[in-house]
Amino acid sequence: MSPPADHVLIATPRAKTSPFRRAPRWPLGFALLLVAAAIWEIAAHQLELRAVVTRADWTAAERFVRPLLRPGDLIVTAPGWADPLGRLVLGDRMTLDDVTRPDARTYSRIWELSIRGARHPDTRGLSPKRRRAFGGVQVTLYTQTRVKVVQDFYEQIAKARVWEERGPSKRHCPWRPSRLRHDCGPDWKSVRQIRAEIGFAPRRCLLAMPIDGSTRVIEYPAARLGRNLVIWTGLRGYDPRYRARRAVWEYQRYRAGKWHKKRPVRRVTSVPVTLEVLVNGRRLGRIQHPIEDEGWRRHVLTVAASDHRNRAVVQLRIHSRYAWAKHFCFYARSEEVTP
Amino acid sequence: MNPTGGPLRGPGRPTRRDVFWAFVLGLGTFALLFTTSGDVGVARDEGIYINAAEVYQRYVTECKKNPKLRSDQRTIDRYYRVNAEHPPATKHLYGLSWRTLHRCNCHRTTPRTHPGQPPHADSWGVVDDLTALRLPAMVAAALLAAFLYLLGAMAFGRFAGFVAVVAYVSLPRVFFHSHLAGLDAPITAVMFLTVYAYYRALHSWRWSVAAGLIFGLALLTKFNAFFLPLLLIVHYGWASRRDFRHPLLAGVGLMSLLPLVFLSLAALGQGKGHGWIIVAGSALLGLYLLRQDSFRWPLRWRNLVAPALMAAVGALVIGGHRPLALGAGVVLLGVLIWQWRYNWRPLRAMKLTAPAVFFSMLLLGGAVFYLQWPWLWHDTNARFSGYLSYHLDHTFYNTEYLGTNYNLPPFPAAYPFWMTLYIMPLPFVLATLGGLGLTLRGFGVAYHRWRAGQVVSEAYGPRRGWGRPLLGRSRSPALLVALNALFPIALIALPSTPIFGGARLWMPAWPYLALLAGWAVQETYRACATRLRTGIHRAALATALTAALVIPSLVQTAYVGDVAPSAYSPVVGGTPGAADLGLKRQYWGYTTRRLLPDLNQLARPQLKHFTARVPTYFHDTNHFSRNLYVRSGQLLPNITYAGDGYGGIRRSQIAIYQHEMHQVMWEYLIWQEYGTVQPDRVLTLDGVPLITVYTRRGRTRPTPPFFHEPPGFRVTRRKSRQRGLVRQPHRGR
Repeated sequence: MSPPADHVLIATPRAKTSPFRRAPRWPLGFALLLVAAAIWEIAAHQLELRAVVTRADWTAAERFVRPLLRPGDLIVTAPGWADPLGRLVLGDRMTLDDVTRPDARTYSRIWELSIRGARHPDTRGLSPKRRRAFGGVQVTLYTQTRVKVVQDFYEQIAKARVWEERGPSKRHCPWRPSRLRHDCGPDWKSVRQIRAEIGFAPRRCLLAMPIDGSTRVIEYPAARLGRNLVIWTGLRGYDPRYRARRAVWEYQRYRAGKWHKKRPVRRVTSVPVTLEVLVNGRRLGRIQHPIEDEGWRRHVLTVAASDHRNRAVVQLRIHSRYAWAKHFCFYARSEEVTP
Repeated sequence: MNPTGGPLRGPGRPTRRDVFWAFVLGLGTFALLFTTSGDVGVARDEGIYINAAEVYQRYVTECKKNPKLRSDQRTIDRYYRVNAEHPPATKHLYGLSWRTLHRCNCHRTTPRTHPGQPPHADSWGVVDDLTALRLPAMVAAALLAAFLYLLGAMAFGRFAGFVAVVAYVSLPRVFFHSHLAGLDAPITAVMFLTVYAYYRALHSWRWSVAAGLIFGLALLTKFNAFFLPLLLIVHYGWASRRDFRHPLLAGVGLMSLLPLVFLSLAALGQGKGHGWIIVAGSALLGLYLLRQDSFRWPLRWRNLVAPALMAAVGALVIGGHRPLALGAGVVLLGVLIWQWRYNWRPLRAMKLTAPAVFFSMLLLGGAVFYLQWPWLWHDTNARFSGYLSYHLDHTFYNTEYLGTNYNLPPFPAAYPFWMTLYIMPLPFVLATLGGLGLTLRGFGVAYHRWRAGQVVSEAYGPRRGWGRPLLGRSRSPALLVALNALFPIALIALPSTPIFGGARLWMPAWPYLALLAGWAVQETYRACATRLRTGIHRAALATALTAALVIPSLVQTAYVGDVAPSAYSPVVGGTPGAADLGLKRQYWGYTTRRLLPDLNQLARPQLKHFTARVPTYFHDTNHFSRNLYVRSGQLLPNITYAGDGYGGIRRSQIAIYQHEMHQVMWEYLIWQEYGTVQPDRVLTLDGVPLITVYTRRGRTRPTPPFFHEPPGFRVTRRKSRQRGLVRQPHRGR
């Protein structure tokens, strides 16, 4: 077939071949849709502004709550992002221990200041005893039978024995009262109470970082046990959590042949931190905290009937096959089951 | 304008009237930004760029005194090492504007700008420090508004252009970013200008030259510009589709060319690009062979031979047989040259395969990029490769999305799409979707015609040529706009692309979204106006449609324009709804501007003597930003910068914390150091806390303390001769 001559344009038939030519019916509907959307947008914006909780509402709520507060009451704010506003009015009645609590089950009275119908996680399942609204702020008092803590392993850390096991050898970490820690050499190896950011929230916990090739052992020689042993685990600090996950990601890229930087990568895999709990030499449970988990996880171990209410040797054994950048932190307490 | 299928041919150039209205719109935009300059806070990165701008000006001053230093490596390194991860064009302009226009506020200044020292002597003293620094960004935004109108008017119609401009300028985040002496608004503007120049260059060789120069400026502004040629190549391939022999093969050729060119450039940046360059070259050759009259063999042979040769050369290269591939390529070239002996048609076809505008962008753009960035004058390969590597392997900063802090891939692919819905006014989003619908329909119509029509050679019209490759033919503006609107969003949607910084990362798409919205509104108006009898009714309809698009944005901008990245549209329930969903509340520390009166008020009682100082911990607002607030007279100079990190908190008397999910630890350290969890002030936006302010009430050390990583925990890099750089925990202390 010879090509057509220069400058010859062959017109393409349009009307018959195109399936897209129809009488336009959409424009009126589309115009109405645009105008309606604009009206809705402006109205919704004005409604949002009206619904904003004012400083006066928060102050009124504070005036109501303050005289009714008793020592040991917990004040919480919901939703979580409104917490600074709750602290602004009642922060002087909140202690660092309150805000770094593992949970609220040890408090008998909880005051909840909530906006936008939110509910604090610590008050879930509780029924309100008193409730009053001040503008957009709703104040609710919850009461509960608080759990009976038989042994708080966090508080009793000074009475624990701590050592590092590497094969058959043991290296003891004596308690230093002046530094309030079990000293195991370098600063990072010490076992101690800390307050820290875990799961993007403040917590108090026992810092016990795993060591490569070793097992950290924290032993309570005469611990009293209730029905349950409740343990919270987490990885401290956004930055080390990121470093640990980043190292795994880099190695995965390296394995996939996508790592082009000159810097060598570390051979790491996503290995969790393991916490084993032994009661009188018998394993009660094995808890694993993966590095992908940035949260504060609660684990409940049921104590055997024979050990219940007796004094027992409780060993907490912490290890990880790859320990780098895993700032493991936990809180443990033994409690009786509430009726 | 074809109301049913979109424009197939637009006017070649704007009229004088269009230019006049573009000027008016640009001037209006500039006036709006200029008069509100002081209302927008100094962002974290803005402070860094401004510092770099001032440092670069010292290079200029020094070279004025001693011109021999202009190309001296030590001098260049001393100044251009600062913020070398970004090209210098905007920083040069910020510095030039500051040097020329700023009014010395010397009694409030930091030591860097002592009176009497250059460059104060050159200044005309017209505007305050901050406005002088920001002026080029505002001019860029104004230029963008003007050219947005021009492109809209040319491509779709005047009404579409006008609606696009007002819809774009009234967007809250556009208002915010257009103020900042940053990179986002300027790169959006310069990329748009490049696209405009390219569009004009399809009909005029003069604009080809301009496109090259403007593209050079875009390269000199931010890394995003490197992606632009890919979109333009795809657009040109489609716009010149009738030059190809077979639609399907042309489509395959075009689609294969795009990643090949990109990979070649990326590999070249890494210094390993030779093989890929051959592959890309062979792809280009194949593309050429697919064109009309590139080869004088029978049609069926050509259609088979072209892809086969392309694939063969590519396979030989990838398989490591580079000499063979090179030989095959040379043979191919020889055959082509032999073909040219008979007539010039193949050569003309080749010229239209790669028109002047692309060469201009490659050569002129590259030259401008190199000549205007002294950092590249020495050790060019290593530094350019370092620049590319920095952006291609960019660090994953943090961003909060739906309650999760993302800092490692895979990032959610839906992120840019949902965020666009969350931050843009709903009518704007709907109109944009309407514009995309029109584009798709027009695309479908055009493809159908292409397939159904007889293959036509228009390649040898009397006026088409290398410098004006589509003269007399449609430039497919809808596809150009849609490609530029969707590509930045699609790029961010890739799970491996960092999503820090939120929506500003796809800001270059926003003018095109506005154009699509304007087009949809115009088409709606045209279709409805035929049913209206009087001019008043038609005017009312046009006003109503424009107002529907603009007023919701204007309401938002008037209310939260100065902290726009913290605000969300009513679709998500506004800022409180976004906080409920777990969307990012802020970054960059720009919200401090709203807090400055409170800070001044809190500090005043402690300033009993004029030499008194109130060291303040500013958290995410860096010292460059604090200095600019002082220089512009918004912050008391006695409120000093206490420092970064825990040291800053310990030295401070006032501490502010800007709520960001991954930075909560700093607030806990403030609690610890100040002995209270009760703030003194909380800056809110619609009831959502943005900043919490604490004042010191004593020194405390609670037991146990909040854990702050001591030096023994830090990861240090230690050089090992045997193993290279190895990261190890430092076991000291």
